Amino acid sequence: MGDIDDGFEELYRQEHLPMLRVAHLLLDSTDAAEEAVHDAFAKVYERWGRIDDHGAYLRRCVVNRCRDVQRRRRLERDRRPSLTASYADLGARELLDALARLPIRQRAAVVLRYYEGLSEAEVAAALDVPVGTVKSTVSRALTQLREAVER
Amino acid sequence: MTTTDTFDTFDAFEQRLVAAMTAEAETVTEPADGLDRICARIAHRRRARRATWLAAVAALVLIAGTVGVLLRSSATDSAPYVDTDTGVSGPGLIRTSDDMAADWDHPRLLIPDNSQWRVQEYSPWARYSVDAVVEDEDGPRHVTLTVEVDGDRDVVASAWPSERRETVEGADAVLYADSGLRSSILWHPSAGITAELTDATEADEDRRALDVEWQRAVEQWRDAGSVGEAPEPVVRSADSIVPVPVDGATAARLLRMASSLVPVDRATWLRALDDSGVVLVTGAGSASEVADVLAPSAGTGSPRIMLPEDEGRTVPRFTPNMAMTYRFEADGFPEGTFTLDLSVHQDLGPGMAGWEPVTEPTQGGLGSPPDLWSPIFSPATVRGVAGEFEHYSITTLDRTNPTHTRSLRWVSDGYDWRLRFLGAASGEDAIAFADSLVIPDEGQWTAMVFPPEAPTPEPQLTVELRWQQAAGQYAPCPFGQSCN
Repeated sequence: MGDIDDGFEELYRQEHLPMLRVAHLLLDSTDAAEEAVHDAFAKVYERWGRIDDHGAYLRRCVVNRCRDVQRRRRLERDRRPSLTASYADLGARELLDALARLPIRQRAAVVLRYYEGLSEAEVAAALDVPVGTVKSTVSRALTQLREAVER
Repeated sequence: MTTTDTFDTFDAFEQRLVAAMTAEAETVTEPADGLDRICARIAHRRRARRATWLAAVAALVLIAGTVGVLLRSSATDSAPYVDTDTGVSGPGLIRTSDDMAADWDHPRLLIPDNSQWRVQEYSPWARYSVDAVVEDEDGPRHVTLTVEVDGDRDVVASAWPSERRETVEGADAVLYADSGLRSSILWHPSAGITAELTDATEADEDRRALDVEWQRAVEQWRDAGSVGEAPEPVVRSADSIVPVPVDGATAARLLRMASSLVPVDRATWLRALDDSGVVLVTGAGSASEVADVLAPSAGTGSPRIMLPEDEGRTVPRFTPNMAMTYRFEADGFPEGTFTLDLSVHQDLGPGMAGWEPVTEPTQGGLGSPPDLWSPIFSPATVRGVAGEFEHYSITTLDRTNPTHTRSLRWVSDGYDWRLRFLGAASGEDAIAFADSLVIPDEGQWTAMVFPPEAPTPEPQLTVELRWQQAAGQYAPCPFGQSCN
């Protein structure tokens, strides 16, 4: 792949698995996550020379790709059983199901903020939104998750 | 979770959320072929983009070509060579109006990459037909057609005008449109018929209103033909003007006419030849549905073909005289030494035998002096009948080498026989050769001129198409190579 081989392979070693896991949390599917991540890597490769922060650009591509997938899967997601159990009865699976019911931007903000451990500024960069929007988005997502598990 | 400090600041719900997501994420492991799949995806995206690009280019070319054709068709003055009606030929050819760029600095022949051509219809009795259009801004080019049969090659050089292939009543026919002569020729390969329709009002004066020619070779005959000529340039009747140019309907009518006359209607035809006076031969024994034969009328000496028109009218269209020509192969003489012409006998008055040699000036061509025509007739006995030698020379005043023509003529069985012979043979040789001829009877004639069955099998031909171009202007196109 030319002169960018080394840098791209380094990016792959550092970010491939983390991005797969982020995509998995956003898409609830390993196969779909791999599709999204591979597409994102391919896009990074094609724009390699025009990108300053390849990792950040990759993350942004992954989130955007997952967002696209989620839009197409919205109807399917909406057909999922509604959460009726109380918070105390919820296990990890149920919490993740509640996460899956969030709008994709809230879900991405939660995953990036709490799973990826990104700062609000980094999340804002990944989502291409202002930091204030990240704060409010994460706040509303947590509120909805709490409400969902407390019902 | 990658930032422990941040995790410590989370409340219990947030920590539980992090734990759930981490546990779920850790179910995902690193695939072994992740990088390979990414590389494959990159390659796939490249191919897809290339295909998209090519499709876009093709679409642009198509659009540009369409616009170009529209512009050319709407601006005929600037596209003199474009003629959508005559620029088409058979399969494999390039349509001039579509594919020949108006780049006359580098004219190219309209020959696709594969320069091997197969004769679509071939009969040893009929003409060769090759779908070929060679045309540029100067009009049709000369092409050299090399025909190979069973390893033997024969070269036929011909220049064809634009042609259009049509299917008429289930049979392929080639319609040659010669815009220069305002004539069209319909060639029916299976019947070996050529019907030519000429606009006498604009064509050369020598051209007849309608000439119908068919070619039928006979076994052991190298070449045989029968040519009909109309005695008048055009029939002077308002309702009998031959339409020009030939359209599909006219072509179909010509084909029906010729097909019905030659292969089917020979009984009527022969009967008309044998009759004398004005006798309209109709019906009986004739399978013709479109034409009748009018026997020779006084002064013409040739039968006429009558074509029924609408509303029951019949119009004389042409008058064949049944002339046939045959080039013999004679032992001891070069090929083509002897040529025999045969036509229905016509009484031309007192015989010419015994005429004294004369020298008469003839009308010269444009800008050239008159020629001297020096016929010499001398009596001869041929096949037991009185005949004559005809020897004339044509000498132009500005040339020293005269053109000699010698022939031996006699009348027998109602036919005028004329044996032309070249310099390799003497008059005695011609008489000896004529005496050796076995003249077939009427039945044999009929069988030869109108063979009841086509010869089989028809040989497969591989035709190599080459062309002649002005030296130094264009590179020749080697056989089997692209000439584009």
